[in-house]
Amino acid sequence: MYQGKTHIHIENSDGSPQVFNATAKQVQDLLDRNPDLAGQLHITIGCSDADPVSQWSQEDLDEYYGYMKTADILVGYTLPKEDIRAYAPELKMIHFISSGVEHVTPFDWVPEGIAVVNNRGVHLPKSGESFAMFLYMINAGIPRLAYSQKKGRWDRNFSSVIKGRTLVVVGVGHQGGEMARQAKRLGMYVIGVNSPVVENPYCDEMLPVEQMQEAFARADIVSLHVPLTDATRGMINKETLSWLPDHAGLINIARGPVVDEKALHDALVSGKLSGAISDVFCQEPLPKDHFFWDTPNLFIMPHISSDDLVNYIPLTLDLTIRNLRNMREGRPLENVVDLVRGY
Amino acid sequence: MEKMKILILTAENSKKVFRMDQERLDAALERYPAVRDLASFTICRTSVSYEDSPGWNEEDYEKFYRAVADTDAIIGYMFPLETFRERAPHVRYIHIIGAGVEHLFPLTWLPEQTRLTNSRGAHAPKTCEFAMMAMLMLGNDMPRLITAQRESRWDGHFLTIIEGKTVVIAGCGKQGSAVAQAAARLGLRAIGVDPVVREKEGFERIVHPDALCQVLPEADQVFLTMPSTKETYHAFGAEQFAAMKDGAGLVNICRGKVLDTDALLAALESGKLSGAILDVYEQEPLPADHPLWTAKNVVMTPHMGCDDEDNYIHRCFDIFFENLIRMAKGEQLENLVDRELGY
Repeated sequence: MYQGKTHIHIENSDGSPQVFNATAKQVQDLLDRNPDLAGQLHITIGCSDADPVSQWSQEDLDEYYGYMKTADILVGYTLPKEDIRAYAPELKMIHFISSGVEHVTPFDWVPEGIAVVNNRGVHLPKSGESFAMFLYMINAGIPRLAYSQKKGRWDRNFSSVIKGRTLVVVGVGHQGGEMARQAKRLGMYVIGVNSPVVENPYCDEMLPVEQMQEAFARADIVSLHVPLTDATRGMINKETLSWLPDHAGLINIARGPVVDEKALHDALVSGKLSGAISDVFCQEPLPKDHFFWDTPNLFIMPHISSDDLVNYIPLTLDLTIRNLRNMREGRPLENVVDLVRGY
Repeated sequence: MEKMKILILTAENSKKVFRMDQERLDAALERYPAVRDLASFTICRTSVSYEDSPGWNEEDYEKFYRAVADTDAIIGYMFPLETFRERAPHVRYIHIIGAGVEHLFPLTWLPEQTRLTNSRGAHAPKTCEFAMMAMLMLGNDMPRLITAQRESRWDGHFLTIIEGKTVVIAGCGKQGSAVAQAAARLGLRAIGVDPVVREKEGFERIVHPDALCQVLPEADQVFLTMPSTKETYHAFGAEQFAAMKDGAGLVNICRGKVLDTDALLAALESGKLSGAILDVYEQEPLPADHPLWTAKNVVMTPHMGCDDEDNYIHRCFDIFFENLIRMAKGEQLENLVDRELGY
């Protein structure tokens, strides 16, 4: 609390793209959208020079610790994980502005009484458009045509409409669910793969991960949305790719290490896969000398498909406020991270 | 009543998307059983298509002339025009399996009583999908990202959604309407440009081509969907680019000749245009040394965007068969080409 007001501290970073940094204008807009909270909120914005805390200057740390003395809620991407209770005695919620939080796992540093929240769902309007685009692009053979264009080849590779084709969505959470929703809008048949098997209104079928082979055998397109965990690392590899029909295409918007990059390269070179679009890579930015730059029929997206330059922070802050209201009224919070599972 | 003798003109080297064979004919007859009583069919399969280079050999000419001598109607794409009146004295109806018929210009070879129809509208479902993809690809800066990938460059920059943006559609026929439908599905505003100013579903309004430059400043994206005629030759050029909003995008899916390629290259080079998606070119196949191959911020597809590999010929047959039925009843045909307008 700061002078009787709920204190929300937003920690920006100059090391982050602008899309992830809140501006004073966005904070003012937020207050304007929530007139009933006028006078009850104290919102501060700090800014570190760099992303990893290990690179924060003394000045960054001093500024941060100063704000955190009274902060009830922290909104940011990273934080010093030691002695949180000592430097932030009133902290009740940490809202990470990314949907993946593997950069702060394991969660053994989280003190009792602090809820950890991630940003899943905030990406959906932008993701939805990107996902529909990816489905169309794979179906129309755009990764191959882009490669032909690069090689100066007139390559009349015809395609048909996407309606009636089969999509396999691996990982049916917020993002996977949105992919399934978009695919249904386009008239596709959708098979979800998720363990545990969950209900999803946009999946025509749902199979456990153990039956992924069965799903893959029927796929025209596979789309990956799993969080990065020990179980999902390298889950798309030479063997699992061999389960796909020869014309199939792959979309990775999960995390780079979910895919064995060499196996993907080989599958595209051999023509096993008709095309792929990847928005994520084991190393980002993709190094200049990475073999992916020359992989045929691979479309490289520089990890931008889910983040909305205009709406990302406003939607994030709306979530923060919804959770503040939930907290005040004793309702469960949205997007609470399971500290054991890590997502 | 004597059955109409129908000649199906196709070629051995015909791509799957355009192939007319017994199987596809039988499928069409299944859909329109009434046609069995109205018409008998002969498939004339030449070694190559007439418009190919090199074109027909002597045997092909002979095969065609023999077949057409006793034919009442033709479904095909291209054939010898100068000798037509003399060689095909009974033909009173020709259906072209393409939307544009400018390859048959001037239409002086066409006997007065012979009716000519085209396949406009057959492309609609695929066109709608291609247009949605193109709208999303422009909104997501895919032309710029293709250029970056070609140069092994990680070009991470964030964008916002396209919902709510404005598209100007130059040409409000069947193709333009399919694009308007795509805009509606993605939540974009559509302004049409057409010589026939009228109210039309999907368009917020339609203005006359004389007013094109007045509506261009509103457009985030411009789609060219007009027929190729003398009047539309280079209808989109330097003056039109200058009238566009800085950073807008352009899509050409109608005919290469309506767009001044030099003006396009200049607009791409200067950055006036953020990106272009081209499916058609002034010369096709695009020559290997054409500057478009190395131009920045352009996505090129080799004139296949609106063609549906599995369904296109089926839809052409549908138009043709429905017209045969109309003809038998003495009704007006659909998709008639106006001799004066050329479309």
